[in-house]
Amino acid sequence: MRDDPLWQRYWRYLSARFRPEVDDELDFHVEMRAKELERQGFTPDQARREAVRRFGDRRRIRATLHRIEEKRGRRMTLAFRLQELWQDVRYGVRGLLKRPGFTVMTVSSLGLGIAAATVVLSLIDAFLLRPLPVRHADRLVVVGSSNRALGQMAAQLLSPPTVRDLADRTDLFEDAAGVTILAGAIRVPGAESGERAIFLAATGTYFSVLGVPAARGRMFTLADDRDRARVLVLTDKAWRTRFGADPGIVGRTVLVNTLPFEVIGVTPPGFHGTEHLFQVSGFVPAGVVPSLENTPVEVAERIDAGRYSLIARRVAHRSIGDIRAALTLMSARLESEYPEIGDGFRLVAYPESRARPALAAANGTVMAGVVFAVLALLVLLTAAVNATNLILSRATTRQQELAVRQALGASRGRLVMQLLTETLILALLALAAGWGLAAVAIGGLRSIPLSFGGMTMSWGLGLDHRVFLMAVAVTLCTGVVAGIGPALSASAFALQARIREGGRAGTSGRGRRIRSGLVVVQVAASVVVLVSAGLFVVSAKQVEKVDLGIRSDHLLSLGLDASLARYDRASATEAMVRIERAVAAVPGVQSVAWSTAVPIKKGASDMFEVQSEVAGQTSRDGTVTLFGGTVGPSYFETMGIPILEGRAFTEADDSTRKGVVILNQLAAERLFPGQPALGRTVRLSGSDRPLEVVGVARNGLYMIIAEAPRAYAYVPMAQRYQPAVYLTVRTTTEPNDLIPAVRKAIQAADRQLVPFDVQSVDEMLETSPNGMLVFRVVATFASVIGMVAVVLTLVGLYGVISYSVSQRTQEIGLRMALGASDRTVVRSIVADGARLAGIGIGLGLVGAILLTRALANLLVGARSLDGVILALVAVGLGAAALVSAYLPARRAARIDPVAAIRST
Amino acid sequence: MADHSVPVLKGTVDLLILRALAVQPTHGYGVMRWIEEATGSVIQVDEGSLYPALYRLEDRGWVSSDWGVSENNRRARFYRLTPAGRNQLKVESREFLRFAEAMYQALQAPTTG
Repeated sequence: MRDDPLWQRYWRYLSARFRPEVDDELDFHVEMRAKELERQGFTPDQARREAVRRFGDRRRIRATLHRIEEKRGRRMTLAFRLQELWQDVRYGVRGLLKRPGFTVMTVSSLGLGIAAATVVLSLIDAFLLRPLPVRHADRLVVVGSSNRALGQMAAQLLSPPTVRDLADRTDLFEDAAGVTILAGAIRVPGAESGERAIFLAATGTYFSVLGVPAARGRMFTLADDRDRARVLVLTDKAWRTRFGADPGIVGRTVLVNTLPFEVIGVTPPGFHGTEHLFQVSGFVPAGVVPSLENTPVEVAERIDAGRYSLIARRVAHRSIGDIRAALTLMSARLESEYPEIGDGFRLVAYPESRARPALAAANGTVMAGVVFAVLALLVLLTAAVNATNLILSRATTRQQELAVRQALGASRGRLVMQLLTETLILALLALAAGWGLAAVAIGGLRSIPLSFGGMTMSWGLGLDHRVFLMAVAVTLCTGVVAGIGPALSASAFALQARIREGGRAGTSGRGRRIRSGLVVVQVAASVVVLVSAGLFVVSAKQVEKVDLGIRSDHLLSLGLDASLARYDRASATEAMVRIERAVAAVPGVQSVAWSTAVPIKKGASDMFEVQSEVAGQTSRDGTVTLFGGTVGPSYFETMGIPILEGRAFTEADDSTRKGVVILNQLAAERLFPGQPALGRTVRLSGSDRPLEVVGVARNGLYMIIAEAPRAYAYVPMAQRYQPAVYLTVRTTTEPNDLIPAVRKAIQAADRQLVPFDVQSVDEMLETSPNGMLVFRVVATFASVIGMVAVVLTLVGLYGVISYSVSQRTQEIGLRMALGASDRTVVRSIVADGARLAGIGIGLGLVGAILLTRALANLLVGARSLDGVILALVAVGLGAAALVSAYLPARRAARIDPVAAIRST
Repeated sequence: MADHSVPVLKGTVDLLILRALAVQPTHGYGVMRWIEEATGSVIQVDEGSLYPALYRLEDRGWVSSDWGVSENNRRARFYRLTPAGRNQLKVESREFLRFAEAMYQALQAPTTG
């Protein structure tokens, strides 16, 4: 036997050259001839020399043979390998069918792992990897801004002048455009009422930045934007769903927020703009935003009228770091030039793929992606380890079969390939199972409704060819990882010896040590996964207990937009009065309130900069940022927000009286530290008159369920008109039961206004991504992954202990014959299992502690419970491990000593 | 023979190898010994033509080879006839016999007219 290293043999096998085999063959020939010459009377030495002499010009012969071999190798390799592969596949399938139990166990182990990985892959793909279907997607950069109030969060807060400033930086950006989300209504002329729709309003360069051509008609340009031309580009999807793929769509007029717009083009299929969560219906030039929203152009153009983000194609040799450095300087200049731009104003830039699903999530998404990728990898590892263990056990029991095959002339490389092929067949079956499971899971995820600020969103999740390719890669890697070890070790045993030895093979210390080591890895991995799952679950529970500052039960909320019905302020106000009266008369309705903001649903409709009157107590330039909403008189009572000082608004606070405002505790504290706020006046930016503070309301949560306290100001609705409003209804019965009656009342009161987002507030809290949804989904997902890991691990542990018991039948029988009691046997076997589990749990806890450090940012209030969760996981998993070792131990104790010893 | 330009001797070697392997699968040395014995050592094939011939026959798919254990427990490359090779042996044998018969007839023909 040759003893060059394995990889060389393997390489030779794969490269199909057989050079050393030629030498082997010729050596054999010479040796045979020498043996014969010896028999004829030559001395061994003479015989050998004579044999070599008679052989002739060995080098020439060898060269000839090599030439033939090589030619043949080149020609035959592919066909030959395919044929071999086919043989292996057939052989493998037959083998797997013969052992359905083994096959099912392995496929379901790997399948679970692959399903978990596939779901995570599809999330990561959707949120981090999938390039936009545009030109130079890798060079797209998103720029937004932040300020002191936002802290680490970035937002779409660039004003039109800032967007132009940025777009002029041709040293950084080849091309750049401002873009913002616009909730509005679209209406086909002649239709009774409009439909809610989401548009992206973008500056004229938007389509040239992205390099997206029009599928029909044309895209809008700089000229359209400058002329504030009322033109609309539809997405392919909206064209199909809202306009029945009308081939004559280009040139038609549709109404957007009651204004006539000319449809000038349709985007290519698959392009939905650069906002990921929103289902966008079309694009309009940014220049038309003031007229669409009825804002004076001067107001929309103010430096602090921030609502845009910038999407830009960076200059190829400028890195994102270069751009960030340049933007830091620019931020400083803007802040000093325009103090009104906001306290701590700074521009932030991210590669487009890091700014998903929204700019605000920029950092969190990557972090979450990494954490879940790690969890999925660990589960996959557990699954692979299980498969390895199963295959190892099986490989040991079939050493005889392998030995026979090798004796019949199969080379080691051939055996390894055959075993690997089998594992890969298993892996592919598992891929099919896992893919199906993942499709179900993702279907479940997608069916969870998502809405945000009254706009329906899409998950953007899907199993496409990209995810499939990644899943296939993962599967193949898993298959090779799970299979290569068993394949190598099974073929490495001294096979010829095995045949003679018969039955009891493979109890070698090495094989057992490998299997035990694998179990330790498995236990450790599942500890890490379980601890993370525990933390996510605790975090979700904490979030549910969070005090929102309102009584969210028995509340129904719905949106109405007067601009969709072409109402002016007077007719809108009249309609609101009629609707309020009608809804209040519905049986089961306790009180009704108007507002422009509803906590979590749409946290604030305004953002104010307020000059603090107490110098030296607030931020550098003496301004405080307040979030705000406009509310009707009964808002506080209906929502259940306590007024701590002063009074709530009344019907008397209308446009004819002096301006009033109610602050929350934090706003009062920030504006008038240590002093009573009641009776003081504040000037809100965007409002020309001073407002008197008439009340202080208790702090609550406004934008997202896990936010830091915010300063908030309420303004009476009668003193500040906004066409898009919410109606909140406090009910005495289950709020969802009242929806039909409320809808009917609204329709009877006003035929033009159509309620949208009609939902109980509790339900909204569950489904809004700003509410509990994300925490729930993450917790559910982590728990499922955790459960999968535990099941796989326990099965693995059980398998290894059972196997070791079955291998040690004789030894145990002997020990019992020599007087060991049932209990001693059980105890020693359970102790084996406990030792493995103990080491695994120890290692796992170390890993878990490291991971929780990374998770800290994603969790709410779980920190204090770290220790409890670690302990629970350790004890729980330990106990489960003991049970799964006890079962085979019981079986061992029932071994009949006589039969066991005789079976030798 | 498929290729008439192949030298007679070489063709003969191929035919003899196929015939040797029709008896039983064996290694190169075994083939050589069989030929010696079967022809009463009249025809002796040297290694320089035996092995290239074996390799070419394998290349054409008439014989196949695999590593196995020899009668004296050494690892050796064993050749066996493939079904195609068996067929080829039949065809070639027939052709060679016709050729040999024709040669015989020709050589036995009266030399005086």
